[in-house]
Amino acid sequence: MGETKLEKYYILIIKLIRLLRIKLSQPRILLGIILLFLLTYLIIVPIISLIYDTGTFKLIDTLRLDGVKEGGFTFYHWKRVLSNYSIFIHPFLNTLLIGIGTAIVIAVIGTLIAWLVSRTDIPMKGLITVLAMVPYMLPSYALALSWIEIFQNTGINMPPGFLEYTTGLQAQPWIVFGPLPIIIVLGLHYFPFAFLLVSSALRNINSELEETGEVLGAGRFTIFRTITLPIVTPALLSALILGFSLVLGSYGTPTLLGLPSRFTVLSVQIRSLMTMNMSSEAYIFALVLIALCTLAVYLNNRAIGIRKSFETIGGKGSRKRLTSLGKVRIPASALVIAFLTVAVLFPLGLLVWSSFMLNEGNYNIGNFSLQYWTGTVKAGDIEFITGDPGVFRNPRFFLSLKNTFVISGLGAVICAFIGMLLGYVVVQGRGKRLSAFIERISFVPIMIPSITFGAIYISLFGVSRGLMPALYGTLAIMVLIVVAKQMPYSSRSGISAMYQLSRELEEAGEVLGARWLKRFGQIIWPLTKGGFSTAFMLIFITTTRELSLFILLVTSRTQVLSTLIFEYRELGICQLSYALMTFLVLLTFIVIGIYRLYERYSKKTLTEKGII
Amino acid sequence: MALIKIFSLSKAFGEAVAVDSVTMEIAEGSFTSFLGPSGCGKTTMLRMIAGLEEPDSGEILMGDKIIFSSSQSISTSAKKRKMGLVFQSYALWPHMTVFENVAYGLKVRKVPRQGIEEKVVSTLSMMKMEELKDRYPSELSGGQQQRVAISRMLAVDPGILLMDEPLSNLDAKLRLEMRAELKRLHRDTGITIIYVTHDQVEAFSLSDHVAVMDKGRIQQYDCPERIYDRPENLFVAGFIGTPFVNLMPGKVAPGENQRIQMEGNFDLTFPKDFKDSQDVVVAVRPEDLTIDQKEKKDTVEYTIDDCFNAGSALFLNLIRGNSALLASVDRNFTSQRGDAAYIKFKPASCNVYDRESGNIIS
Repeated sequence: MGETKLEKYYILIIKLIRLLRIKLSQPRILLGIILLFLLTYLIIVPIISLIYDTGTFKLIDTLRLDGVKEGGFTFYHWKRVLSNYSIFIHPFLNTLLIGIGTAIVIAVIGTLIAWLVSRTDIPMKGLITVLAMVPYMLPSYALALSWIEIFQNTGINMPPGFLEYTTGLQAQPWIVFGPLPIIIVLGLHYFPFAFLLVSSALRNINSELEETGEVLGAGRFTIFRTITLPIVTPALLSALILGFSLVLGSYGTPTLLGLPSRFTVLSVQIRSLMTMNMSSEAYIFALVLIALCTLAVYLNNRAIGIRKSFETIGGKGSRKRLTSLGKVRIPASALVIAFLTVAVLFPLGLLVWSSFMLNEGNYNIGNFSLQYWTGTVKAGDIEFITGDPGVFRNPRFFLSLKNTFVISGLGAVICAFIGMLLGYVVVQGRGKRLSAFIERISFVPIMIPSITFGAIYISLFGVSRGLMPALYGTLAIMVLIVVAKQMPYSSRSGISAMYQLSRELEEAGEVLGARWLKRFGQIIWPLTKGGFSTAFMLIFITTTRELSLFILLVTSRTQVLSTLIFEYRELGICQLSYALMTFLVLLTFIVIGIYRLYERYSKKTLTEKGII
Repeated sequence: MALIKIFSLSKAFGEAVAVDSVTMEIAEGSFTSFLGPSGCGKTTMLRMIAGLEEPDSGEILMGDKIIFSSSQSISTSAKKRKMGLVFQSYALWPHMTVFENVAYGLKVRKVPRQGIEEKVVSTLSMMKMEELKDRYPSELSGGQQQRVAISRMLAVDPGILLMDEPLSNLDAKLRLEMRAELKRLHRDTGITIIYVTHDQVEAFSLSDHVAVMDKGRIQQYDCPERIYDRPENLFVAGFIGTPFVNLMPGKVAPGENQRIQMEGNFDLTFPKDFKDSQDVVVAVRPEDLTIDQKEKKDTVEYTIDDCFNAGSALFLNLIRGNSALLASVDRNFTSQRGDAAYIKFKPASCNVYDRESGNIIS
């Protein structure tokens, strides 16, 4: 009898192995499982490790407290932080204020410009679209630097800014520093997200929805308020969630515009706690930020709901009618262009100009100098306190430039490629649990504010664990963090690229006997690589100007351009910082220009070959 | 009495002429269809009547009121025309419930709350939709969405109801049901309906007047029976009828003005005079041919080339020399390929067209 039992087990195991072999021979499942492990390791494990860290005693705690063991379980950090008004509650409320205030600014500016550009007949739409996208190409704190350059004044013991220099007016301290400028500056920086998402939603609205309102007797404004706006609300809300998450995780602007007036937010607190060797407390803040973002996403999903969202049936829906603005169309266009010029172009120009000033705040032409671009530092030069040479003679610049390219390039290639594979797995396995789960994990980083991500990665990869060596201070950890943080964007682009590919194209190859690698390399990849290059560009550009993600991770060897810019600014060498900034912005424009050319060229060749 | 009067209405989109100098009247209480292939200008006509598209020239009158006139620069906006319009896509607002969708027009017209409630409920119950009033459009089937789209327009008591291919997104069975529903609606409310469709069966079974359009012009505007029996030109003859009409070229015999020499080497004689040696086309529908398997008086011999079973009838593909003919026969008809078939053409059921102009010769 025992033998039959053994036999039963044996048969069971054989069956299991056979099942596994059948399952794993499907590339979708094999690849899916690999991706699942990878994403879990890059995204889920770090969060768990972070939570674990907040509940255990550290070596430093054993010095502070009596009778505690390192690694013991405790709520000590939580209690210590959450009840403290100046450390936690005040910055927490400030964070909410900034997050919500900025979201409102983003919504108003983004929606208005999106509506004007995609649904009305105003002239100069191309120019407006380009101008509206400029902030997106700047480092998030560029406008904050300009703000200070414009409004700082001798009244608050600072050098004269542009306003004081030209008009003699001194701005009130609450205009120069504090919540108001932070909200305005972050709003101006992040509104392109709302602009992009809302205008694509607006373009996809079937005009017949609005025309029906017109036929029923509704006026132009009523139609906008009761029909158009509610329909794009989901897009607007997701733009706001994205903006909220970006604002919560942004470090540069709140530091520059908040700290001088002792206005602190959680992201700034995280860094100062980290430098004070209170990482457990910093991690708690990080978790609070994640919780806030998750809550926002949850509320968003509740508010939109499944019931109200549906795709209108096709038909002749592509008919587009632009709302005629009549007499106000030209003033409206001029107003938007003027606004964007004052809010975006002028501040940018001012920074470029400032990088050519020998002495800060002196806008006289006689003050023009190439000192911060090509100048060397001579011994005994008392004007230049720190003694760092100009951009093109500065070894730190060349190191950080190299690092920026390595991190952005490698990170973008890896992340975009994983995104394509992920798109393949998700689209092939539509409706399957594995695919749905992978898709969901890949979106989690949206809810993790950038600075928090840095904290998480220090917590997990800072020390050696298992096979993984300690990565703190290497470029590898920075590449990894880029891959993880940008995963939502690359997976979205991969999924949409794969959706456009008919399944039959691969099946035809399969029927003809091509192995999976061959099918992927010769059929799928050539047809979807457009999605790859889009994702690559998006990630590359975002990463070259990223500050918040890297600020906790950089060391002198792994400095990148944007952290170097920030460091020089903190050291008070403003012009050098602006010169670097100018270089970075120029670099971004050049990269985008090359990409555009490539895009045009490659599309042309595809058309010539008759593929598209 | 004419409700809508249209005088030489034209509209071009850039180079493409959508509607080319159309003049017509639409009677009050009628069910009028614009029928034609895609791109014939029928939807543009409807949108110009609704006020959603500005004509380039011409005039539109509703009752005695001019609602559009290019010469007098009058253009009443869509919201003031008090018409109803149902789109092919239904255009239901996804963020509003059925009730809110239907109530919208009344709210815009500032009807008091009590009145809105009553009107919406009565309209929905007429369309048998009152139980679904709290649902969102995404929770409705295609047919239900269609009913909501119609209710939404009926609720405001429009002077006229315009419908743009309202049934073409429904499956075949539902389309039949909704067709009956629309007919009932027209009968019960007496409302004037202008209907756009590319489906001739739909146009014929619903309307009392059909305007067949092609290339921006009205090719024929008549009751369905006359359009079917006496198409005024070759386009209408070829467009109407399933399967298509037989169009056979011929030439009036020299000196004998009643006899036409047909391609395929046989003659047809009509009780009327044609022009000497005129090039003509004789049109005859497959069901108007009489077929015998034995030779009789005044028949033409054809050979059976193929036989198609269409369920309710059989269609025979016949050949005679280089000319072909499609005939419909009773489904009990048994034959083999290569058999002879003797066809009798009844002059009364044939229409003769001038080949050059394409117009009917009466």
